[in-house]
Parts: sequence; C-alpha cells; structure tokens
Amino acid sequence: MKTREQRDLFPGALEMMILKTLKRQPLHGYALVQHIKRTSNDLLQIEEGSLYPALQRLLREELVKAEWGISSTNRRVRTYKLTAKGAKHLEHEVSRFEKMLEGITRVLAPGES
Amino acid sequence: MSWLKQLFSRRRLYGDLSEEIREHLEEKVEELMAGGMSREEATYAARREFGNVTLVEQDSRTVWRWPSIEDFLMDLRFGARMLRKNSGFTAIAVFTLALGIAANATIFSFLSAWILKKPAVSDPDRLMVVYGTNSNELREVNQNPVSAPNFFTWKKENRVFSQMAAMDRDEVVNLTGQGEPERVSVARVTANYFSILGVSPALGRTFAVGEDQSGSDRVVILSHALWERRYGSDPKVIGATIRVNGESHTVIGVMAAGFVLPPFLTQMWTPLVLPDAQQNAAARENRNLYLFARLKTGISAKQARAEIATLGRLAAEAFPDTEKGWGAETLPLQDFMIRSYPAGSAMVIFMSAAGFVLLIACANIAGLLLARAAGRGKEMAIRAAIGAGRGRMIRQLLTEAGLIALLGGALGLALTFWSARALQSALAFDEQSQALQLAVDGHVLFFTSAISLLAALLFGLAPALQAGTPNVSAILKNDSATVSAGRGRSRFRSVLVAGEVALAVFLLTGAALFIKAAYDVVHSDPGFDPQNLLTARLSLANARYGKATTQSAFFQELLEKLKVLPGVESAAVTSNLPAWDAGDVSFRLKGQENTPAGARPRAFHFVVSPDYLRTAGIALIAGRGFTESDNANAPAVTLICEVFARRYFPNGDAIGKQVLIDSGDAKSAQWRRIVGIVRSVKINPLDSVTHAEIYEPFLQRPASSMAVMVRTKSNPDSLAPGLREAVWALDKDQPITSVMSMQDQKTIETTGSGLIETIQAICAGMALILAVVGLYGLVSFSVGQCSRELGIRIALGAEKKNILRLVLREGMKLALIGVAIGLVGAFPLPRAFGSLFPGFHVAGGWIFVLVSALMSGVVVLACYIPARRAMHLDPMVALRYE
Repeated sequence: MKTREQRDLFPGALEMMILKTLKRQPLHGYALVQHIKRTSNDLLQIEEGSLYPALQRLLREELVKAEWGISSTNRRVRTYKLTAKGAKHLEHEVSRFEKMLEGITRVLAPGES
Repeated sequence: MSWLKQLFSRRRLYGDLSEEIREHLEEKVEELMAGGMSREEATYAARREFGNVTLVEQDSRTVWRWPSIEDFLMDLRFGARMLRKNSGFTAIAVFTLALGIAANATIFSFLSAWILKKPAVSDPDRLMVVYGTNSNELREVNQNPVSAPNFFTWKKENRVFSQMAAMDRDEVVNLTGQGEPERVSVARVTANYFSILGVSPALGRTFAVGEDQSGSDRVVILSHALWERRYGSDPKVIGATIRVNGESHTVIGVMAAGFVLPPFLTQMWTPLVLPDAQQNAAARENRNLYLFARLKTGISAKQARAEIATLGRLAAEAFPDTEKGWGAETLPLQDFMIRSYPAGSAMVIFMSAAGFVLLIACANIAGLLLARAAGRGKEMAIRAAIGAGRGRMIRQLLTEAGLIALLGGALGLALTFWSARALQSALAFDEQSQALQLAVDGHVLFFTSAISLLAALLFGLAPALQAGTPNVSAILKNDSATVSAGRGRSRFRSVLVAGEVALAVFLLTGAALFIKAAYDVVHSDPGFDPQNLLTARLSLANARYGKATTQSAFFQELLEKLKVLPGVESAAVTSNLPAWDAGDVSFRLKGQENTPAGARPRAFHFVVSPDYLRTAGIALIAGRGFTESDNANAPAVTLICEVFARRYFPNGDAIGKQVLIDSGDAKSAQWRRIVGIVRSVKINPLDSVTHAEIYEPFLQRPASSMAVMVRTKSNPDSLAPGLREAVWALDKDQPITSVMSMQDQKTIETTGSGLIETIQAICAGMALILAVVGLYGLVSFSVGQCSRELGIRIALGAEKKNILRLVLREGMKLALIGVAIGLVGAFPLPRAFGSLFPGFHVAGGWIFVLVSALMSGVVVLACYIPARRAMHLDPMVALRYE
C-alpha cells in the first residue's frame, strides 16, 4: 500500500520524527505537525494529513497513546504521549537510522568513487 | 486479543479520527485567519496543506484493518452479490456441480462401505487368509479353498505365521427345535478360529481348546442376526439345545452384531473336526478349507506371500497327481474380502460413469465462467485502471468460483445423503449386498469436499488467469471505442465454443459407449429360452435313494408324470440351471498327453436328461442330443458346446472324438464319445464371456440332487401345483424347494444388474442434460454478447436473413471443428474400454454419429435463438447499449 509520506521520505522517517518530537513533550496532531515543519525549517515537504495514518500506525503498535483533552487555546484536542515501548523503539530506530545515514554519506562522499 | 478489541472498537476509533481531523483543520483555519486571511481563503489553504481528507481518513483506517480477512469478506460479499445478480447462471452452475458431486459421493459411499471399512477383527492388517489358486480357473475370482492335508503341512512348516485356523466353506443345514424348521448357513471352524481373529462374543463364550475333537463338537455359536431374528434376542438361549441336521447341539455363544466377514455369510459356527493328517488322494482332492493366520511379529505380508507360494509349489512337486496346476497365495483379510466380491468390475464401471458426469459438470462450469470472464473484461479493466492489483483480482474471481463450489458442494452433499439412502434400500437384493452398511461417513465427506475444492480450482483458475493479464487500455478501447468485439476476444470465444463442443462430444461419447457396453453384457443372449419355464429343486434323501438306480428311477418316473400334465410341452432334469453358476470339472482329450488332474483344462459341467435341450430351448448345432437309449448300459457319450468345440477342436472335427471327465469316483470316469455340439449358454447372468461347457446324460451319471425344468404352453406359475402333486404322488415326504419360473430365477440373479442399469441410466441422463445445458448456455451467452455488433450491422442496412446466415455459419463452423476434435479423441475409446474390461464388446458406431449430431444441433439452436432475438431488437437499442 503506497502512502503519501513515502513519496518524500523513506519508510519510517515520519514515525521517527513524531516519536522524537513526542519524547520532548506530549502534543496534539496540529501542534505536532507544526513543530516538525518548523524544526525542519520547512525543508521537508510534509502534507499535514499524512501525519494521521502515521499516528494510527503508532497507536496500533502501542508506541504512543492518545487522550482527549482541552488545549491551551481552549480547543478540544487529542494529545499524543510517548509510551515506554515507544521510547525504546525510538532509540532503536535512531541508531539504525544513524548507521544507515553514515553508510549513505560514505558512499556519497566526494573522491571516493 | 487486542485485534479482537480493535475489530469491535473500530467505530469509535473512526469517530475519533474524523473529529481529530476536523479539529486540526479548524485550528489551521483560525491561525491563518489570525494572519489576516479571509475564512474562505484560509479554508482553501488549510485543505491544500492538509491534502486529500478522504484519502487520509481512508489510509488511517487501513492501518486498523485486518487486510486478508476483511478483503476476503469483502470479496465474499461482492461475489455473493454478483451470483445473486446472475441467478440463472448461478443456479445452473451450482446445480451442475451438485449433480456431479452427488453422483460421485454416492458411488464413493458405496465404495467406502465396501473397501475402506476394515473388517471387524483385531489388527486386521496382520490377519492373513491363505487360499488356493488354479491355473485353469474359469471364474473371475481365483480364490479357492485348500485341502486338509495342505493345511496340516503348511501349519507345521511355515515360518511366518504364529497361528493358523481353518474354516470349512459355508454349508446350508436344517435348523430345528424351537420354532419353524429353517435352513441356515453354518461354518465349521477350528477351535482357535475366534482367538486368531481376535473377536469376542457378545454373549457366552467361543470354542474352547479340544472342542474341535470328535465327540465334544456338539456346540454351536449363533450370529447376532440369527439370535435376534430366530431367538428374539433372548439371552437365555445360552445353554439351550438346538437341532442342527437332526443332531442336538448346545448353544454356547452369540457373536457381536458387527462380526460379518463377507463373502462368508455365516449364521452359525460349529467346531471343525479334522481327521488326523491323511495324505491320500481323496483327502487332497477335497479342497474345502479357508485358512486364517496371524503374522508373526516382524514378518511382513510380502514375506508371508513368498513363503506360502513356496509351500504351494512344494506341495505341487510332492503330489503332482493331485496338486499339479494348484498354487497357494495369501492376502490380508481385507484384500481377500475385496477380491472375493465379484462386483469389482461393476464398481469400476460405476466410478467411471460417475466420473464422466463430474468431468462434464466441471467442463460446463469452466465454460460458463470463462464466457462470463470474457464478458467481464471491461469490468476487470476498470478495476485494474483504478488500481486493483492483479493478485487482488485473481482472488476476487477465485472467491466467486469458490462460492459456487461451496454451494454446489453443500447441495451435492444433501443430494448424497438422499441418494445414499435410496441406494441402501435398493441394495437389499441379496445378503451379501445387504451386509454393506451404506452411510455417508467421514471418507465420503472428505471425498466430496475434495472434489468440490478441486472443481473450484479447476474452473476458477482459468478465468482468473485470463483476467489476470489485462491490457487495460486495449480492453477499455476495445469495449467502448469500437463497436464490435475485437479480434482477440472473438477468437477467444471461438476457441472456447469449439473446445467445449469437442469436450462434450468426447465425454458424452465415452459415457454412452461405456454404458452401452455394460448394458450389452447383461442383455446378451443367454443361449437358452427363459420364457415359459418352470423350475424347482429336489434333493433326494440318501437313506431312501442312496443307490444310483433308485435315483434315476425316481427322476424318470417324475418326468413321465410331468410330461402328461396338461399344458406341459416337455420336462427335463439337470444338475444345474443355465445362468445359475454351474459347477466345473477338469477333463482330458483322448490323444493328448496325460497331465495331472490339477493341470487339465476345465469346463462348466451339466448332467441332463434326454429332453433337456428341447426343454431349455438350447439349439443343437451339430450331431445329436441325448436320447433315452444313452443309458447306463450304452456306450458313454457326451455333448459339448460351441465354445468348447472351437477351443479344443479348431479343425471342426469334434464329433466322434473322446473326452474323459474327471469326477470324484473312478468308476464313472470313462472315455466318452462326443455325439453333438450345442449352443453355449451363459453361466453367470452378469457375464458376457462364454465358457466351455460339457454335458453328460443323466442316465449315465445319476445324482440325488437335481433341478427340474418344465416347459409350459402358458404361464409357468400355473403349473406349480401340478409339479408339487406329481412329486408327492411319488413320495409324499419329498421336499421341493425353489419352485419358480425361470424368469423369476433370472430376476433374483440379476436384481443387482437392474440397479446397475438404473444407476447408469441416471448417470447417462445427467451427462446428457449437463452437456446440453452447458453447451447451450455457453454458445447462447457468446452470441448474446455479439448482439450489439448485429444491431449495428442491421442499422447499416444488412439484411436480417444474411445476418442470421452469418451467425449460423459461424456456429456451424465451430461445431464442426469441435466435433472433429472430439471424435478424434473418442475414436480410441472402444479399444481402451475393451482392454480395461475383458468381456466388454464395445460397439456402436451410431453413438459417435448420434452424439456428434446432437451436439451440432445444440450449437446451431444456441446460435439461432439468441441471434433471432437480436434480429428483433431495435438497432438503436443495440447501439445505445453501453
């Protein structure tokens, strides 16, 4: 099944960024996507909607949990929080990603080919 | 079980999701408006940045789905909807399949009752039966009893069996005391018989060691059926005294209900008293024991077979005079039982006929589904165009096929239950068949579901593969942009129709040839005239008629009395009735070297009175029949049948030659001159093979047990009282049995064949209906698909007549191609059947012609009717039809 974010990002990238963001603090969907966009300096082309399938996947895997509440702007929001399992998963994914990135970087490094 | 919770909490989940997304957009819009945008602008921008809301929701939901099951359920729902929409198609397909399955499952439940059911003894695979074989065996089943001397020798010398028991062949005895006198079948067995079989009685005990010694053998064990019927299941029968052939016996036990070992239909067991190992020739010739033996641990059935074959060979070498030509074999009990059932070939015939029906059914459904798949090309292309994967589409089609298979299987099973019950009640024609407990059991269930699954795959796969390689744009273009079916599709349809015709011709011809051949076997000329014949059986008591002269005097006097009865044309006595399984003898031709008795040729044997040929209506071919002067003092003479004459006197010089017929007493064994040749008669009514038969004059070989045969001018039954009176006038104490017309005799003998014929007629009818329905359905569907093209042609000014001709010519062409292919395939069938079933004379060129004509006719009709309907369509309707 082809999903939206895979066109721009590698599989699992969005999830990783969500987990990382949620590790810092629990957020609701809108705040989450704004944070990711802002932090990446809008370098990443993320459709806001693509966040939701990713969140559902994380929910299903029990890496995050969600709770309805009232936001600071007095809006009914669903706040996502990282679980212990999610924290562990994030650690694992980040180290995997760093290894991969290192590999890619080495291959792409000038003068090596 | 979180997935289960998910499955149920899904509605709430989806609600959460929608609300969340709504809130998200709301928040975004507010923020943008705060930045100075109008609400309209902000909503637009928010949506653009968010992406396709529906798709996002859908993707999010997909996460929670359990894809394979849900897709399957969806396919199932969709499939069911499709089938409901095409209810005619569904009904034909399901019904077709159900018929095929039911035919097979019914036959299979018969088969499983007969073959797959283990005999009711302990560890049946290790229980062997030892029997004799004769190299000149005339019958289908070559499993003969063995002699007592061989039993003793083999019991002592074999190294493969731990124990061996012997059973005398079933014998019919008079049972008296307590209730009506009746004749029951008794088996004499050695005392260890029951312990070797490992069966225990339902009541009382089995034979104890030493009870098979003379003097202590007056004990009897009853079969459960006999105990139930004659003694009303009374447990007090144990210890009671009953009279077997006039001698008192004590009942010591009753066997369990399930203890039936066909072909032995024993109602009572008594101990078998074997005199100590006699080795004389008479004892060796007296072959009347079946041996039951347990394999030693570690010994295989194959090893036992080799050992017993060796022992048989040793016996033949040691006693060539009596044992030459005889061998010994052993088989596990179940195999022995299966082989002793002469219905073996009938079973194969059943299975083949039913198999043909199932093949036709499957071909039909495949054709229907293929045609429909071709018609659904556009639907498939659209699915592919909007992103359905190939696997997904194949799965959808397979689900549809599987649904049909499932419905067909279920209906088939219901039909099977019904027809198995019908078959069981039809099987009650003899005790052997009655002993078969027909039930739709686990094997049958397995078999049925296996067939229906296989059928689903068979016909589901083909359209799936065809649909699985869609050239989307081509199909879409083909179906909508151009007005008539493209060349590819119409060629596919042509191949389909021609192929179905070929298959139908092949299968139907095969089925018809097969059934006709089986029918011919039963209805072949018996060689005598069964009309207007009254028959009866007389067994003279030894005490009064012990001597040959008194026996011949009695029967001669009886015949004199019968001949003068009003309405009687002629009367005769014979040792055996024709078509009633005569005994057989070995014989020797003068001039040939003297081979030992066992190695000599054999022929079926009749001892008949002078008027026998005239009475039975057997034609004399050459020479003369027996006369009154062929008596004990005259030169010994004999008659042979045409098969005998052809086989042993190929030069046609049989008359005048001499034959010596072996028989128990040496005195009557003398050279006999052949005085005449007669027509061969059937020995077994279900057998078309004609055998060698030899006749001796009654006056030269009198016997105490004879069949009386009276040819009458009118209804033979009306003479039955006259026959009885004639016998009782000679001896008022003489019992007469089986007084009935030859037709009734024949009916009893061939009831089974009537059943076989009915089943085959049903199979043939089903095959025909299925083939016709299937072919008609396919062709008319295909022509119907062209109605748009026809409409356009008419709109463009083509004459209706010409168009009709065009359609018919196309149909005819395909039919002829199909018929030709089918005939080429069917051509070698008669020879194949002939070699598979000896005795089958597969003939009937007219079957080929008839089937071809019929199938071509169906194709033409199936072209004509939808084409005519298309003619009458308003061309505009056809054009608009999209």
